[in-house]
Amino acid sequence: MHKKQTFWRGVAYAFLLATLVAMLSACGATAPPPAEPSANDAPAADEAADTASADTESADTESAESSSDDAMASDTSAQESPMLAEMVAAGELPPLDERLPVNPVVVEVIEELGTYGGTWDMAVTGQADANGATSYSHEPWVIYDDTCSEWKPNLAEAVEISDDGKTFTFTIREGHKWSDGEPFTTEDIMFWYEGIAMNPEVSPSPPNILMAGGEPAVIEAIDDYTFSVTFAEPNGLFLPDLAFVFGDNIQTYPAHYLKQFHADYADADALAALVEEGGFEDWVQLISAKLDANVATNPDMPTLRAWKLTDIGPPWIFERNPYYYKVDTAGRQLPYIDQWRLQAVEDGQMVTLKAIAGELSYQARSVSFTDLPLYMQNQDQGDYRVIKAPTEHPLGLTIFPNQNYAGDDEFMKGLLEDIRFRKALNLAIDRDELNELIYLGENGDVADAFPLLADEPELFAHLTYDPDAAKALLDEIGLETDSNGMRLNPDGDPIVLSLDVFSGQSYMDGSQLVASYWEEIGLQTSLEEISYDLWWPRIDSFEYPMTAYVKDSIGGLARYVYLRSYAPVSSSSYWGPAWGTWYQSGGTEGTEPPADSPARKAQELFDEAKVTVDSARQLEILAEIERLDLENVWEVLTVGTGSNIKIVKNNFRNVPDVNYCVLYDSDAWAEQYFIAQ
Amino acid sequence: MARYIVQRLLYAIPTLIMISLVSFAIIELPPGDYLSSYIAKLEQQGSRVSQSELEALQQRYGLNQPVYVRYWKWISNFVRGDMGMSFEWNRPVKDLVMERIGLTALISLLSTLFIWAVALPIGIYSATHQYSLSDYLFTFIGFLGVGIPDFLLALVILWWAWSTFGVNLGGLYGPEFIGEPWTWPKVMEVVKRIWVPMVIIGTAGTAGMIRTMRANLLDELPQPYVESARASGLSETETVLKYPVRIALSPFVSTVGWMLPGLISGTTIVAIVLSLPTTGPLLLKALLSQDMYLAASFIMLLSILTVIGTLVSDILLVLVDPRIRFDDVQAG
Amino acid sequence: MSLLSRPAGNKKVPIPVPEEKLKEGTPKEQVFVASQWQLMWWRFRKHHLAILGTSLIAVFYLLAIFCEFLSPYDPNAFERRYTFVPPQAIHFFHEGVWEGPFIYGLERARDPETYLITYQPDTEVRYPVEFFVQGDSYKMWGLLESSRHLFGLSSDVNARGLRIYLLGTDRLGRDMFSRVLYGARISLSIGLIGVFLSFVIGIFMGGISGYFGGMPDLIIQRIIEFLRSIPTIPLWMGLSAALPRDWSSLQRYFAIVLLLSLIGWTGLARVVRGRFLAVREEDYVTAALLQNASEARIILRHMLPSFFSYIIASLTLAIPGMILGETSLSFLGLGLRPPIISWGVLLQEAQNLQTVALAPWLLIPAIFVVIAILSFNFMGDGLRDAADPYKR
Repeated sequence: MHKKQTFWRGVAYAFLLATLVAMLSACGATAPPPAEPSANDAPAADEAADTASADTESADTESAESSSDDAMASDTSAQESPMLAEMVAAGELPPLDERLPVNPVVVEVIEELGTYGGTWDMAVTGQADANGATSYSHEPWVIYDDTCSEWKPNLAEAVEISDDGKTFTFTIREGHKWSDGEPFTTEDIMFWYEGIAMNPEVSPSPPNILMAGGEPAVIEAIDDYTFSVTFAEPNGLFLPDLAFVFGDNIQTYPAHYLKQFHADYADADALAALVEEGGFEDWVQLISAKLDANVATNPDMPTLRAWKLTDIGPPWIFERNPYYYKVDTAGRQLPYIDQWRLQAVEDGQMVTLKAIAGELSYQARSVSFTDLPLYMQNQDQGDYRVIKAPTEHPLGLTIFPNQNYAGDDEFMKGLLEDIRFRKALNLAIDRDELNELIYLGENGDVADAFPLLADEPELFAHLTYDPDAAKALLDEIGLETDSNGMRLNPDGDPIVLSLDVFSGQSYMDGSQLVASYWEEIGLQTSLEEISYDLWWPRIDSFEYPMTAYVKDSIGGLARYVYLRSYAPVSSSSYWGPAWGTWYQSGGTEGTEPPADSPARKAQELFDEAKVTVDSARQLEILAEIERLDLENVWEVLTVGTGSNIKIVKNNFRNVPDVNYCVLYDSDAWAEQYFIAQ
Repeated sequence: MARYIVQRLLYAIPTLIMISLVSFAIIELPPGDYLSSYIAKLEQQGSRVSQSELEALQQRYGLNQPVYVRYWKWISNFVRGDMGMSFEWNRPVKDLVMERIGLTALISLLSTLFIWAVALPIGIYSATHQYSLSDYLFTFIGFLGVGIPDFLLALVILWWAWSTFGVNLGGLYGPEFIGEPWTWPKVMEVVKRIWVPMVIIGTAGTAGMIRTMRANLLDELPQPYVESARASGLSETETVLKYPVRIALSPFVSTVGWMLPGLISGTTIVAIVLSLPTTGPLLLKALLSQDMYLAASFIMLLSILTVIGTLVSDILLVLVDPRIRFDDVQAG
Repeated sequence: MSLLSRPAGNKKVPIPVPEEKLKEGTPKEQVFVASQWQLMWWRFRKHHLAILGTSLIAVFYLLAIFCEFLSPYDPNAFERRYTFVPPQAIHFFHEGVWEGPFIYGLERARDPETYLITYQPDTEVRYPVEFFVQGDSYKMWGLLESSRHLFGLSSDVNARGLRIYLLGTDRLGRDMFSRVLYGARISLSIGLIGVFLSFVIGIFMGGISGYFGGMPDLIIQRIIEFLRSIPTIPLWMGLSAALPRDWSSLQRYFAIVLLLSLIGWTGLARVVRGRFLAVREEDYVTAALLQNASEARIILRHMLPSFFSYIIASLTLAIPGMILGETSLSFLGLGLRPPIISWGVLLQEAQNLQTVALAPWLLIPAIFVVIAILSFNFMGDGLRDAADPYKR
């Protein structure tokens, strides 16, 4: 007995010791946090904030001398973050005017000029979510205004379009620098163009953004700050595509950092050593891993964004970029916030709890609209506010009857292709009830998402609730009913519609509701929830009869970048995937829609829009495509757009209460958020 | 003895080869691959992946190669100690696993200790007071722990702690300690929180333990040697604790080997709800996103530990309980 | 990853009890002539919790078998005017006057600020609870068509929308009481069918292994070791992902049960093997061998019965493992999915803070799970205590 106990105690100690060692070494491995800017010590700053505002020029030196005195941190007259001022004073960083471009971007703040410092805490559910979250600091070449119709330069100082719409000349800001202080020039663009985009080893085919008229564009560097992109055909959708947060891009990669990983530039032996050391098979794998388009896995890569990754997570830590190229209206360098930190949680519910507990400064990802009552109730205790930002994308639950159904049920195929059947499915839905039950009654009408067709209400006639009309249509098709009113197929069995539902509770709940409406008109539905990993193979097979997801509805010209929901132009045009694949692949895969069919017409209109330079004409074409969509009842539509929920700490300011064009999942103005002292 | 161990190790080789095939097959079985789940995930975020990007990714991850090529690449590297790269994290699998293994082992160990501390006394008490009211009561409490689904219990505890005390018990420490060095307050913070998973995981395990202990002890109590110990004037407590309990414990010693894989994987569900950075959620996510090398290497690692654990158990069993001869365990 | 607890009891030998206790209340000679089952029953009766557990299980299975009739509503019927209704109280007295069972009307209000839905009883209106009412039509066991329900509000009231919600409603206004009953049918049968299948496989494999020994034993032991070496969650995921896509939900359900038992038989096989090893050496087996009895006869007539009761006990203890396994898999999103209703599905839907904080009655299925698992455990405990009455 005694012996055994000793043995056990020994084992226990050994484990504990090993664990402790492991834990300690683990935290030793991650870089020690840099000396925190004292702005974090909120209590000390409270009073100082009011009294110190008169003090001006001495800000830099003073905070450099005593890092615990953060009086200046809350002073809106400081031109740069005290954290950087300190480094400048210590000679580790050039002064502000050498770091800013000659012509920095001036950002209009949303509420007021901010104070520097602080940490923006967010929660993510893992690496994939962290990658997605980096869209908050996306820097597109151009951005669109609220209406999605007018663009203005952002990363570019200017963009000029030739009269024929084929050549786009971009100007980079003189003196614009990477986060490590190296200049950002056309050399970086040419490195991407020659070394990455057009290099068949790294990119088996050139990126879509460069393609027009079946040929890749030619990029030329005119001087250090000017380059031109020339397409074979006029490219009317080039700029909306560039602006779109999730779109393709003329990538900005730091050539001075990446060249060491590229066979065309690097010394062969040194490169071979790097490949070997990283455990890669060849240099292509190596550079692919380093490119890191998501900017959340490679802390070594310099960036142009407001914050630069310094620690790979969890937690992922981004520190302010001292060379960031934007200033506020008072000429003070942005971003206001020093550090952006993505805490890791393992489950969405923990995001909810952290938000309620006030541990997150600003959170919109993984925040579910249906939890609104919970968030509202705990506002005071958690010291946060709930921003309900109306969003223009996407529409509520949408069901896509697959009109390219490739399964072996001929009868079902006939039904899905019959416009009367699709109309009946639409007419059967009680949209008010669905809105109430699934979306807290908050979503708008479908028609609101079609501003271009506002004066053609007859297009939306099938979006009313009229089960009798639906039954009449089914009678007209010739579907017999049994004694319970269930519709029968030619074999005399009740018809069962099978519906694949995208993974997620609101999709599943909504689909169950829809299934019950269809039962009212005599159609049974069998639902299946399709998990992430199985979704794509399922869509790709074209064998699903119907699928439930959402319809995209980004507004204005930007709707073209997500046209898949309106015309069969992509393999994810769920109601016509074979046609979409045909279009997308340039005719090598999928099926060609019959000539003169509405689907083909929609594709041709898209072709036309691409080579149209005049944006008014582009909107006209868009209206025509939308009209085709509604006239032919390509989808079963339920309700319109709703709101996004943002949980924002009360001292976290300058957060807009709308979602802007294009950037539906993110916020373009994160750099001017600030934390009030 | 040495011959027995060698023989067992030889048997383990074909088993491990089979397991490696199956671990890989598990990742290959579902339709699609990492890219298809990657695309679907981006899809949900609103992103698009172009055909050219897709081709580049396929090439980069080697997903366009035939299955047997990928299997061979993986297993030959694995044998050399290279577990491959995770697609999603863009980091070596080894780093990802090592980062989380310490905490996982700590939590598993603590909950095991908790189970023993609770279950053994109750088991002994129940056996010596069979069919008494307290026997029923303790057994009831023990079973209650098994019956409550642990994910729900964890969530309810989280909410209760927040709504009553205003404390968010999720995670290993509060947000104010993120990135801080391991100072005393931080260690204390961890100690303050770690009882939650310990108790939740522990409650699920106590019932089985109580039941086994009670039954084993009931077996021993009527034995003649207990009678003679009692007759020789030992107090009742001494009589029970000195011999029968000792023998009743021996099966537990043999299960220590089985704890080995559990130490690094036993906490998936509770860890997900409580947001603890253990290995379980990592594996689950890897499986869901078909992050091939991360999942396969992880499964392989667990399986090897299980095989070793079984061997350790069997050897311990022989060492602890001389009544068992090698013949009996040879095949088991 | 011990997600599914394997059939327990693999290292335990039956519990002896002093003979005096055994004979209490029964004449001595009766014990000697009693059949094995009678002896078991006498022993079993002594375990009060086991009796209680068994009765509860019987009640649960009755509820599950007759759920169409016992539940007042279609479990999938939603009602937008009555989402998140807390459990309703049944009253008998109105202002001190006996009225028989009735419920008050409900007034629904939604806070425009917080979106929180609240209900106030409207004591002006009273709806009597009636028995054998007409309601949603159903097909009992898929055969008998009917629309009678054990209880409910009279049908004209139903038409106006007010319903009786004993356990409240969920986010879509579905009656939780009906859902729990329908869930019981799936959850309780998963345990039974799954355990039955593992039982068959386990006895077969364990029997071969233990009786023949040698090469078959070696191979089967390797298979067991192999199955136990693969972590459960990945194995489960791989297998369930390999199910054909076009299977109906019912087919998938059976496939899932089958998979559970394909993984779960190993524990039992080890027990059976151990028993065979032990019994093989007993005198009566040797005697049978000497009489040239066939192997099948020896196994089925002589060896199996000697520990059959014991196996039943360990099977009973395996059922709760299956029930819990189902809830865990649903939590992980790998098990049954809506629109199928099981306790696991109900708990998975309740697994969010909103529910815990604002609609805690949606956690009620957990109570049913706990009671079912406790009952099975107590029953199994009692059975095992009683399993071997001849034990010295």
